[in-house]
Amino acid sequence: MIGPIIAIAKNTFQEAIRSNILIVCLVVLGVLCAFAPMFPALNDSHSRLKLALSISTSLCFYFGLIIIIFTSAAFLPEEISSKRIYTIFTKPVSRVQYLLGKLLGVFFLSFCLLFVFAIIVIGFVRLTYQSFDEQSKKSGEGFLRTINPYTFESFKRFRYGKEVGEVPSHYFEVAYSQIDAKNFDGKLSFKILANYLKPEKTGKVYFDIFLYDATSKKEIFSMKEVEVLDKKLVTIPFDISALKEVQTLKNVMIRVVIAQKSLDYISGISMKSSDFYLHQVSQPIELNILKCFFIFSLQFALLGFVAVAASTRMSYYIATIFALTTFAAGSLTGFLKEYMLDKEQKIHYKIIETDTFYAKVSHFLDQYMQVVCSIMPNFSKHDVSTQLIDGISLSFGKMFSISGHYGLYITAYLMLAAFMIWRREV
Amino acid sequence: MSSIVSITNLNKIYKTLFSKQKVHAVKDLNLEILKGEVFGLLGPNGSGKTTTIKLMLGLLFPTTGQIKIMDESAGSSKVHQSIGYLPEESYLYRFLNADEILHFYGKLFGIPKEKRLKKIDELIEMVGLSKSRKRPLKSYSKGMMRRIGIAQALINDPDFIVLDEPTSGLDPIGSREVKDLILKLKLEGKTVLLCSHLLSDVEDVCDRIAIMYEGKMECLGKVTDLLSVSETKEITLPPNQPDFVEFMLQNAKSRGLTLEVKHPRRKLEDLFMEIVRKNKN
Repeated sequence: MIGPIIAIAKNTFQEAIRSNILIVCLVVLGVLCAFAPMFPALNDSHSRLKLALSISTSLCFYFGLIIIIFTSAAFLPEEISSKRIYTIFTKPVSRVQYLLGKLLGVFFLSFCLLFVFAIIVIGFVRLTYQSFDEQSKKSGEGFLRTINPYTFESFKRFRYGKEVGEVPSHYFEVAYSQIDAKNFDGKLSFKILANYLKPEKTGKVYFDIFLYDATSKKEIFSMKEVEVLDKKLVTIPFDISALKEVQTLKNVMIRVVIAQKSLDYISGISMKSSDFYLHQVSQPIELNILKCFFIFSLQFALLGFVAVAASTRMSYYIATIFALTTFAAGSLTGFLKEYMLDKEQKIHYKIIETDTFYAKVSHFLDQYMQVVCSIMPNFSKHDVSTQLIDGISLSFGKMFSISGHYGLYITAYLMLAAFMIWRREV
Repeated sequence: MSSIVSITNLNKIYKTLFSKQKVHAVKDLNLEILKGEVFGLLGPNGSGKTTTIKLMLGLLFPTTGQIKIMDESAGSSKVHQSIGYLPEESYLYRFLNADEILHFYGKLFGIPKEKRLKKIDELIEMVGLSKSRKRPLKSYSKGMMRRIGIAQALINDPDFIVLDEPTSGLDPIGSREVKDLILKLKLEGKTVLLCSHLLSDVEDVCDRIAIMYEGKMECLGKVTDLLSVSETKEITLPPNQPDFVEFMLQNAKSRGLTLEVKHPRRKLEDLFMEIVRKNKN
């Protein structure tokens, strides 16, 4: 029962890795990765690491996607057109076993390909990281273990809650919402680069930093008179893990106030490229890349099998287009749903007229898209690349849930493909 | 002799989705292939031979009618377990070598590894590919592809073997070897269905033949019966008998009959094989 399935899977895998398309794509990928360090250099180490991760991940993702879809869509039409299928279907192998073998082959191809890509990405990121100076490396390490970095280019100047323009600042605020306490190990870092308009003789300004629960407005942590030198980038770490409140945090607000000590000496301050980081439970970037690429491999296996399923009754080109459309529709599902929800609200509030012909057609198309979005796998919901690039670790729970989602679709496509190939004449 | 294949009222009509035109490829075919015989299926292009074979193998489904192979429905896994099939062209995975391809097909039959290794060695030796067993199939000549195709058809030691144009692409020696193999299989009690355009091949090895034309079976019977001309007789004399020939001619003349006297001809294939054998020795 299982022997023929494994034999077909192994054969499918061998066929794919011995085909030229794979070699060509790997060469192109290698060349692009070799040229990637020549991309514009960024001063900020976080941005450089993010760029390195973003470029290499995107490249691997799209190359992998093309390889898997184009290769998978060719398996069945190639076997039928070359008539090799005659020698398979005349052996004691049921058509479902044949499909399962192909599916297993696509899975194996996907895992191996993405594992190779993950190694390339890890190597590339490490290579980029090696080129940092020691100071940048330290702050780079911070990025690799943080979640949800909040960046701002300038800050509002306030006095007693009102914006006051040129008047010396009193405080500014940043807020995080929907923090998952499980991903937060109670470490906070605050990076600041300030230009003082009229610095006092020593060039020092002092800040008081407060951490609030944004919902209850309750202060849960504070640090007084933190020293920040003019035009010097300062990273200030805090360990607040001992606080009970941290475990239940959902909405966090950080308030930075120029300390009373400084007020006499400066008349203005401007903030540049300042970031706040909530540190995540420490996890090596390599593990995060591997986890993320594992999810990619599941997504690719699903798309590969969509191509195989489509090719049971369609030509190579149509099956390829179908799989690519599935990817596009699956990636746009979230956006389309939001768009349609927004439109429904507009109709509800009578912003859009519903009597006209075009409005009716548009309404019908929206309904149609709603059905399509419900059928298509939701890739946008399970997009883990942004999480990877932002340095957010992927929990095993989430991986399990995404695997379940894709597994469900693979089973559905397998049943559909089995039905389509069951009475197919070759 | 019991029948291994039984075809009753078989019809196959090809329909296209967007056209009303239908092609009646096989018309009311009734056929029985007996156990242990070599059966030849002949006919010009488009006569329905390949369609009939595909229907028997479960690659196509009949429009009406029934096909039973070893008392099972055509296309079932049980039937496929005991069938060996060599397609018209050797459609195999060109990126694999001879060993790998035979292992692959062996695995599809669930043959245990040790038995598979032994069988593969035996088959590769039999088809004469020992020296090139590690070369990828894409580097094989047409004849070599045919040989490996025959090997894959025999990997499961089948009871019923379907050979579609088994000698195409082979040189006369290879062709003779295949014919010898068919006769050897017959001696082992296997049933062979042979489909070929080379009528001499069919004549050499088949016990019975069927000739199809435009989907219909036009002729069925034993090769010896179908090819013999029952109205005339042929006498073969031992060497050096000129007196007896003269006597026969005189006798016939007196009775008003015309006799034709000539030397029997050998087959070109026999002459070729004799020369090759002589040079080999």
